[in-house]
Amino acid sequence: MRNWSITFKLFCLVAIAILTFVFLGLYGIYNVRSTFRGVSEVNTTAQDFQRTASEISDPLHRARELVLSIVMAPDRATREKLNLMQEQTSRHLDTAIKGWPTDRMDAAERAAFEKLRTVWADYKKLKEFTVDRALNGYREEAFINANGVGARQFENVNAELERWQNFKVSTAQAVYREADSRFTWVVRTSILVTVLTALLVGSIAGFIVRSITGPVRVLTATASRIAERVDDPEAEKALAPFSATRDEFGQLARGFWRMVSTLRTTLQNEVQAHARMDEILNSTRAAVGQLASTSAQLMASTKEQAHGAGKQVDAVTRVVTTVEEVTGTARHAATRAKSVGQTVLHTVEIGNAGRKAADDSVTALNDVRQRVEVTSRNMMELIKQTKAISGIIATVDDIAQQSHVLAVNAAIEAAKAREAGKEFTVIAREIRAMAEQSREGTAQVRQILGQILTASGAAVLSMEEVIKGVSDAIREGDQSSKAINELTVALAEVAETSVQTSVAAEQEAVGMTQIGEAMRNIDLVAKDALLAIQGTAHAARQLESLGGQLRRLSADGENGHATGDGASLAETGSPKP
Amino acid sequence: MIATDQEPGTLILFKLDDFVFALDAMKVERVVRAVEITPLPNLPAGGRGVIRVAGEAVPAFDLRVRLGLPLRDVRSSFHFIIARCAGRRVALIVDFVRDVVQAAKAAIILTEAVLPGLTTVEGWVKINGELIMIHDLGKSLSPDELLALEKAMETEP
Repeated sequence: MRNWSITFKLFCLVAIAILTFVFLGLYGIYNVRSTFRGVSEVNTTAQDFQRTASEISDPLHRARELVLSIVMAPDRATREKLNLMQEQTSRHLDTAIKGWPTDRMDAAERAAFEKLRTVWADYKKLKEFTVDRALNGYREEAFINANGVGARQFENVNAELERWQNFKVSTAQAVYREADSRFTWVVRTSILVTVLTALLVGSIAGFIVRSITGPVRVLTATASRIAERVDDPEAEKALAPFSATRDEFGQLARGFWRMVSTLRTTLQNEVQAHARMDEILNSTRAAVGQLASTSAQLMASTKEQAHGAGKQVDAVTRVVTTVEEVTGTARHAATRAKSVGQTVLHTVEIGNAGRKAADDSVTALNDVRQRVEVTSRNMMELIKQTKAISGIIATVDDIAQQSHVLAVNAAIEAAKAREAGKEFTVIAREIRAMAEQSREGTAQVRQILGQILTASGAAVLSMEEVIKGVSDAIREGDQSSKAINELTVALAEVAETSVQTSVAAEQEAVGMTQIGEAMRNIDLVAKDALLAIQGTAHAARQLESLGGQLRRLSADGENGHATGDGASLAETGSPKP
Repeated sequence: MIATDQEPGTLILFKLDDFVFALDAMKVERVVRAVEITPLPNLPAGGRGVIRVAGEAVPAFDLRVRLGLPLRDVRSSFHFIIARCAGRRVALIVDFVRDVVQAAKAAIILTEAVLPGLTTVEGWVKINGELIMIHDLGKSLSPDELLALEKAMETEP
């Protein structure tokens, strides 16, 4: 199969597809036909059953009804007319039963049908007898016959007909079941056959397609490998199996391989020419490199010099600034020291005044303490006297109570004396009233004395607190007087020191101004030197740019001759900037 | 009997807490200020002990107990009413003897006329708009209590 051409393979693929379609189509037609056969059988059976109903069952009932009508008919003319209809129906029925095809019946059904024929024949005889009786005027006999024996025989005929029809029904059900199962089978096999065919055809087609796309993939991979690297040895190995075949891929692989060989030869010639050009460029590059490195060194040393000079100028400038700041600070310090001296002198004066005030207040407070102590002693005396008055009042109260009891007893005695004591009752009442008055009086005095005692106690307590507070104030006044004294002495010393500091700061300011002048002169000289060095640096920069131009020129020349190695040449040959 | 219809009766008014009571003055001998009470056992209800009056031992009763008032300790400001009860002297401890008044017979309402059967109350009287209960000393001690009092007093030296 490897040596088959692609056209032949594609032809095979199409042929398989057509054959599959044809097979599936034929199989489908076969299935449809067999399904229709089952349906037509069911249809035939149904028609057969319908025929039994219309040709046997219906005329049978009609004939029976007509016989009954003849028996019941009122006059002879009607009976004759009905009899004609009855005979016609009976004849049709007879013909149908006699001429019914029995060839397609099985044994059991045929037996049932024969029985139906027999009972029908019997019933027909009975029916004819009944009609004959009715037509000849024996209506009672006909009536009895029709409703007795005739009716029973009709029932027999009907039962036989039903049995036979049941056979028909069961036959129809069997036919339907068969048709149904056949249809189910057809559906299942159709699905199975279709799936199997699809799988078979799919796998054959996949195999053919793989045999076409496989070589294409290998050729594509080889081509991209050669595009990356022309002299790849793996490429030859990969192409080897195709080169031997005779199909379209073999021809393609051979042509591709010829192209690769030609490309390799061309590249080798190019490499040799490039090597010669390299030798010429190398010598030029060395010369340019030397020039560039020399100019770079010159440039660097100039830069360092300029940098040094710049730093020197900066340092001198900073020194000048610092000297000016120190001068300013020294002058400021002198001014501050002077003002501190004046403030301190003022403070010393205030301190002296404060000490005198503190001493005065201590003296005044001592005086207050003595006065309060005297008052407190007086108050204590008052309390003692108040208590003595309370004792006297108690005695007066006792006497008043005694008088009250005495008056009550006098009143009792007077009451007992009745008329004789009437006068005495009045006196007793007066004594009692007097006792009551003195009792009320003593109660008031006692209340007032209580208030005096409470107030005096509170006054004594608050005076003691005042004495304590004044003593504390005196102690604190003494302490502040001492503290102010010490502060004044210390401040006098500070004033002296600040005057000395002021003089020293003035002298320092003068010296710093002189140093500032000298530093400014040095600054001017350093700036001149910096300008000179900057001139030198400019010359060195011009020299370096010249070297750069030369380097670019040599690099351009190299690029023009060999594009492949140009970048690496520029890297190795250029001097460091 | 306090008084006849014709003549006014004399009543002694005394205080117990905020209440004012009265007693028939004819049954009272005298009033004394509080003195020391010597305790004596087996006295009837309200008996506190005995006091000495002119050399004689007299049982002292706390009227608060007899009248159902809250009990209080005896103070020096209290008064003792010396009265006669069932032929014997007794001392009644009261807060304060306020006054001795004359009351007309008509002003007195006797208990018998209103609530017969009360033992400690003889009647009520209205004096200066104040309704005062008159204490019946004779009925306040039952015969059993009087017997007990006699027995207790025999033990007293």
